[in-house]
Amino acid sequence: MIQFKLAYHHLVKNKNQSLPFIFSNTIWIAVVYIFLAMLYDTNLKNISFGTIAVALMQLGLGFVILVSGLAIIYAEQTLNKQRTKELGLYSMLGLNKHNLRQVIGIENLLFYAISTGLGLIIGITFSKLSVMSLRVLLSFEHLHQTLTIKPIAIAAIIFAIIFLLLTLYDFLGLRHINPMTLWQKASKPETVPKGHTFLAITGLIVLTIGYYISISSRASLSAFLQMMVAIILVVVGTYLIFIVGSIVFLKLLKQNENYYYKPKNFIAVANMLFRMKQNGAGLATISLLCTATLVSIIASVSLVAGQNNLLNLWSKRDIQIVSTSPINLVQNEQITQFASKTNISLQSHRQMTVTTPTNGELKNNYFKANNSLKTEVAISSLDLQQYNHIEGSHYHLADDEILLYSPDNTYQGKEIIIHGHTYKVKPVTSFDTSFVYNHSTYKPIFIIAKSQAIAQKINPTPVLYVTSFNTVGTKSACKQFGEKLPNLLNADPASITSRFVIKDLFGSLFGGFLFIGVLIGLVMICATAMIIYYKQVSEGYSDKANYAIMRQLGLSQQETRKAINSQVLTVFLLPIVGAVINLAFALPVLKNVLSVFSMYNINILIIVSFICIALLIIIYMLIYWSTTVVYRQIISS
Amino acid sequence: MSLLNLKHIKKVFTEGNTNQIVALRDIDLSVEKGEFVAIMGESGAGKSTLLNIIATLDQPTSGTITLNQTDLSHLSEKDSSQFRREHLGFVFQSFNLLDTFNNRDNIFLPLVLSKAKHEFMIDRIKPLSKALGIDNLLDRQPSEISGGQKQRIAIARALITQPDLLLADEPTGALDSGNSEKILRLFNQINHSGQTILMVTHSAEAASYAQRTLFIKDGIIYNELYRGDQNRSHYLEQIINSLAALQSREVTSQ
Ligand SMILES: Nc1ncnc2c1ncn2[C@@H]1O[C@H](COP(=O)(O)OP(=O)(O)OP(=O)(O)O)[C@@H](O)[C@H]1O
Ligand SMILES: [Mg+2]
Repeated sequence: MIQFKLAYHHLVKNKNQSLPFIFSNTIWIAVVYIFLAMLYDTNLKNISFGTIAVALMQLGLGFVILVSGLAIIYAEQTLNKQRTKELGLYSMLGLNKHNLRQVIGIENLLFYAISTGLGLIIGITFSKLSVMSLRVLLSFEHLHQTLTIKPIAIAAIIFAIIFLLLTLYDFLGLRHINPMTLWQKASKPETVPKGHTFLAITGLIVLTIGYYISISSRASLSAFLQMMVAIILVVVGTYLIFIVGSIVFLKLLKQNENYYYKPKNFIAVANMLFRMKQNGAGLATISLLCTATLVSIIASVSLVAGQNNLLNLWSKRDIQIVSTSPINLVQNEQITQFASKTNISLQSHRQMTVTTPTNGELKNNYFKANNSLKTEVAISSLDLQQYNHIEGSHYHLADDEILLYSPDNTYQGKEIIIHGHTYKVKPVTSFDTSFVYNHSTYKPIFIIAKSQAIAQKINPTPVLYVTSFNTVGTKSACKQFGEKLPNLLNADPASITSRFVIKDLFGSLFGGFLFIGVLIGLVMICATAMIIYYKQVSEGYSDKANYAIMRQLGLSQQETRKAINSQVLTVFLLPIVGAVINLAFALPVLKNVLSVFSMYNINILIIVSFICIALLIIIYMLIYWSTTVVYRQIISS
Repeated sequence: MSLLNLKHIKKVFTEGNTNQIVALRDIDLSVEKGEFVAIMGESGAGKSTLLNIIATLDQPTSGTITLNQTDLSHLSEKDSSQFRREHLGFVFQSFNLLDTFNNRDNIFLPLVLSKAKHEFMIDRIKPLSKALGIDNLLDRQPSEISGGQKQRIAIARALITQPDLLLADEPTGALDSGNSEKILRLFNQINHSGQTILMVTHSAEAASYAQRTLFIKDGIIYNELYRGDQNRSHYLEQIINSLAALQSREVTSQ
């Protein structure tokens, strides 16, 4: 069949264009497969907080499908230029439109088959290898992986749909075209998109709505749909802004004659304007991939970095028992006996009574009790005498004065209004026996009042008895003691907190998130590198002939190098800037996600963000530098 | 002293380790300022090789070449680039316009590479575009104009630096006879205004516009024809006869 031969011939003959295209498709398919494999081929949902992990993976999956779809459609535009020329030739030689459609269809089918095959092989290998090595590296043994057909099939179907849309789009391009225009279209520069002010405004609006949704929605499973919508809007907005923005930027550069008519800028700006849409889309893709890398790494590293904070929040003592009635003599005897049986000794025994925490929200220093989506804090109170005794401090308070302990000193108000009374706040930074009632995710706030009566007035609830002590002995003995204690006392596990037990628990819990975060980050940074590589290679081949002509006209090697550097450097930072802006709007969401795990310390998040951005910039520069070398080699070969 | 001087130019291409192709054996040639010289010869005779050496795109195996007393045979890559854009103008068979630039910027390109001021470029392009009749083409893209128009843009690009020497390799090779004639008339016209031109061509018709025609064969200049005072059709006849003689010699020598 001649159509097949033509399609095959075209694919092979233009291997400088088609190989990079296949390469980038392969990367996208591999990435999508890796997400699908994490979802369907692992016991992800069975690990602790698995439903959240699954939801996050699904968001990630939606993101990569969207970005790969857009990136592939744009990459094919470049390829299409060359193909259009060839189709013009065939059509002059007598192929009708139906035949041309067949040629396009077969060629796209070939692209699809090759890319999907390679992509799946790479995806399967990568996910196997990475899960295996990360399990060892992060000593996270809880995750198991199998190999099933489901993710393979889903990935194949997703990309079949993308390629089908692509083919239909190509058919549309054929409609109003005669042989001559087909032939000419190939060497025409891209034109400024119609109504680009409209597109820019649309982009801004879409992006703003996306940002707004992501800032205003609370991190919870019920907000899943909102998050998905926010991601879609931000992706689409980023593409529009980058495409229109980079075009406007380049046009401005061109209009500035003093800038434009300099050897290096002249060539660089003209090259980028020639493929302006493709250029903008490429930058947007890179920017989004950088954003995803940052978000996933920052979230997971912050969780791990905040792990100790959370541990201290739950209990600063080795064992802490919270109960509605005081520990009786029998229980006390049981504890002492069990301690000597497990070869540990108990030290610095402490006891206090506090009012049962009341959930509510704090707004403008005003406490309102409630149990709703807005609930943020859990307030309880005790008297000054107990506090001074526990802390060994000598505070004095008036009737309308209180000490206030909040984790990481997050309460900033000078006063607090509760039940219509205003109290002057003296913040305190230490409270050795603070605890989180029922391990809820609400921020615990302790109010220390002058007397028990005032404490009751502030929070009129039944009292809780908090008994705590430290354990001295081998680590395993201490842990064993903590594990068995609830059974021994016949108590609710949530009421007894053992530092040794929860430390291990957190290790596996946050290890899981670190694992997923690092995996996604790794996949994203690899994809970023590959897409930058693809961009440089495909642009290298399309610029090669031009540079050859300019060398004949008197462009030296050194000037070629300068022009290339200018071409790379002019836009090189834009994706990173875009990624940092996107990240800035994702941070509130991250903060919310972290507070699900009782982490309120924004400083950790900010420090981790800065480190990650710095690291990303270094890696990004390395990628750019090494791929620019490749570009230069292509140009001068 | 002539503008361009070539003495005992030899060029050997080595393919692999052993296979040597002698493209030019021993070329002696001088071109005076203001001359219009055509170079003819069979395919593979070494015309493009000769032009590339003069253009500093390639270096001779041995021999000396000077343009305006500058020795061209041992220029560094950087110096030769600079030399090309300051002293030479190029016109190619396939136009070699850059489709990333519009026509005006294509013409500006050599000046931009020489870091000229924008005002200077504008001053230069004005008389040139008028003389070449390309005023209304300047804001269009190369992909939007005809072959003859493209070659006129290419000529403008070659002339905008006011080069010492205009080198043309088959400038009419891709054009129909009407357009060829227009381009050659243009060459004549710019030659009359003082521009030195060296043109490689296959066509006797094209060569007949020159003042002197060189015939290259077996790596040497085999024959030379001056137009002198004869009219063009006479000169054309002479060139055709020479070509025929060249070919028949080949037949008898086989
Ligand atoms: N880079 C090269 N390497 C090896 N041999 C070469 C190279 N360039 C040219 N040649 C050989 O040198 C000889 C002269 O080539 P040249 O291109 O100068 O011919 P020409 O006269 O321009 O021919 P045409 O009229 O077909 O353009 C030919 O035999 C050619 O094969
Ligand atoms: Mg030649």
